[in-house]
Amino acid sequence: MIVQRLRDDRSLLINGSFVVAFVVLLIVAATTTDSFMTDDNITNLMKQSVTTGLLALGMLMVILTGGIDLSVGSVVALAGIMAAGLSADLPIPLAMAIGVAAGVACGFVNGMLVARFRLAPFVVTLAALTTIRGLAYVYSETPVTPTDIGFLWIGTESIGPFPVATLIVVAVFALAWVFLTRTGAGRAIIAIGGNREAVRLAGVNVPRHILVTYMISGFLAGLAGVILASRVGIAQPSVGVAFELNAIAACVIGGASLAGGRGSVLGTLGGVVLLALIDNLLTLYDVQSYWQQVLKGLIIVAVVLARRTEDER
Amino acid sequence: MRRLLALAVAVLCVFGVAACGSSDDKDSGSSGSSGTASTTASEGSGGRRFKIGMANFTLGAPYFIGISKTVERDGQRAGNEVLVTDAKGDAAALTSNVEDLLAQGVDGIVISGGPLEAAPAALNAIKQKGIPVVLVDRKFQSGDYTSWVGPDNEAIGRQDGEYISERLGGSGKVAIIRGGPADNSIGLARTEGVRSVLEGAGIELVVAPDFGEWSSDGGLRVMENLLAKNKDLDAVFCENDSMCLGAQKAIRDAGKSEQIFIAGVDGQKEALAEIRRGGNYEVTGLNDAVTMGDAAFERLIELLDGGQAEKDTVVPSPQITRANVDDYYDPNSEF
Repeated sequence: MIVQRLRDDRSLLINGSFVVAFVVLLIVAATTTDSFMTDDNITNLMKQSVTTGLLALGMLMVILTGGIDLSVGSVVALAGIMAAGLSADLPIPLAMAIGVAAGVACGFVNGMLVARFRLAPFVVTLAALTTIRGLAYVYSETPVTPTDIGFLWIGTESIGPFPVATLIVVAVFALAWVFLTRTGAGRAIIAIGGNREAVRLAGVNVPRHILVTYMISGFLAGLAGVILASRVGIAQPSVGVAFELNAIAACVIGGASLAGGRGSVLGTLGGVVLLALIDNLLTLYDVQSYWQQVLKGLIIVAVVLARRTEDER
Repeated sequence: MRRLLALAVAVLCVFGVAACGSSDDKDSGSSGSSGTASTTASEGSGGRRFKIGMANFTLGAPYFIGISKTVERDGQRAGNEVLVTDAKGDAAALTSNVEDLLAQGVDGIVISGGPLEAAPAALNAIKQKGIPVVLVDRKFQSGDYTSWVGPDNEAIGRQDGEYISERLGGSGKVAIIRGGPADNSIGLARTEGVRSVLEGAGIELVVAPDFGEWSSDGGLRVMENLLAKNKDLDAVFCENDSMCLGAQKAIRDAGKSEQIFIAGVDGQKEALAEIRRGGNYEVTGLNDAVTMGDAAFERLIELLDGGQAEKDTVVPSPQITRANVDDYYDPNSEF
């Protein structure tokens, strides 16, 4: 119990220093460039965090159990192209729901193989990465353009100053926070990553909880795919390559441990916003693309290093 | 028992998705890629049938898929056997694919090199067999090939540049969206072409610092960033149509469709549809996968029939605007 307390305090501390880093970054950005604090740019920042945000949240669930989901980028492609393709014949909400459902199905298969068959998550989801990418191409090897402009609503419209997609992300993060911190299932998921055997002995159905995390990841990746297709207005089977890396980076920056058992929804949200902020600033400063890649990598390492030093203190 | 059940569910699930996909694909894509295999078998190649290899460096983009499909369809239509390989962007895999094709006794090979700069090992292996190899789209920097057919990317860029410069009448601000480092020499040539015209015409250029990665979602993101920083853009040029389609969405979302017009490259079906619709997508340069595939196939057959062919052939890339788009737009096109 006391150990638990200490841990909580420490994670609060980390969040505190994180907030400070953020505020500093924001002030630097706002004072040194004219275009950062404009409505357009802030809206861009919100819109451009949507995909990474949804993927990172799903990834967090899986990482908490000590797993990993490398297939999310491919699920984005499959869900998007199915939704766009089906919208030609079906009502748009149904088409989109089927796209998302395809994501859940992918997560179900991943989860089954990991939880029930005890295969290594890395291997299972790596195989899924190529299988699902292939399925997206099987469905349509050319880009699909939805003809009904209703398809564009979810990714394009705003309610007040907030893009609908961003509101969805905020809602999903809030739900996930409640799920992980206020429900037995959520706490069990975190505990599984810490000590699977102890959780099993406590009478928790471990495989079922692990399965659920992969299905959540598939669901959120499917949702991200549908929203992305809606935002771009065209669904491509090639979209989403290497998206899983950004999602994993966001989780790790947010304090998640790839060994499982540690990580938080708020931290992950911080990681997502920080990544988007880095991209946005490097672009606004006109940093050349190759240097953007170099700097982004270095910043990620620096943040994780700073975090670890703090953890060890 | 439980395990079996799980496995069954999993398998069903995967096949369910796959089956649903392929059946729908048939509905929407019955444009005739494989259905017309042997109907006109005797035309063209003087009656001789060949075994042809179509080696792709990547099938990860509609343009490359279009080239490959076209060669496959042309070949089958003339009664030939066409073996298609996909190296998935791996140069070593391209070489071993070519070796596999040679082992299967092909009479000639078409290589679609995508962004690859050179493939000396593959070309050497083909040379040793003494069979003809036609490069399509990408001309390798080194190595011995029989013939190359492809576009002049710099000329396509210049063409777009001339359109933009004429339309703006000597002043204005134009953004350039680049694809990325991987394809760099194709993109570079296109941007070089645009630049060479616009810089001389007193037009201000803004090159986006980030890459659009040749995709619509990438083009959308880069354009959003450009719009946040530049309020006074008059036009945008993208190194391919895919990115322009994303950029067009970003411009529409920002309510600037009246202010900013778009110039692309490729002649992708969706872009032609936009040009036809008469919005702010005004011009593209045709770098059409079907035309490229046709040219490559014809060249290979010419060589296989013992004819002498030009070594390097530039496939013309006509400018497409609203005035002539109907001559080029085919809703059932593969690209």
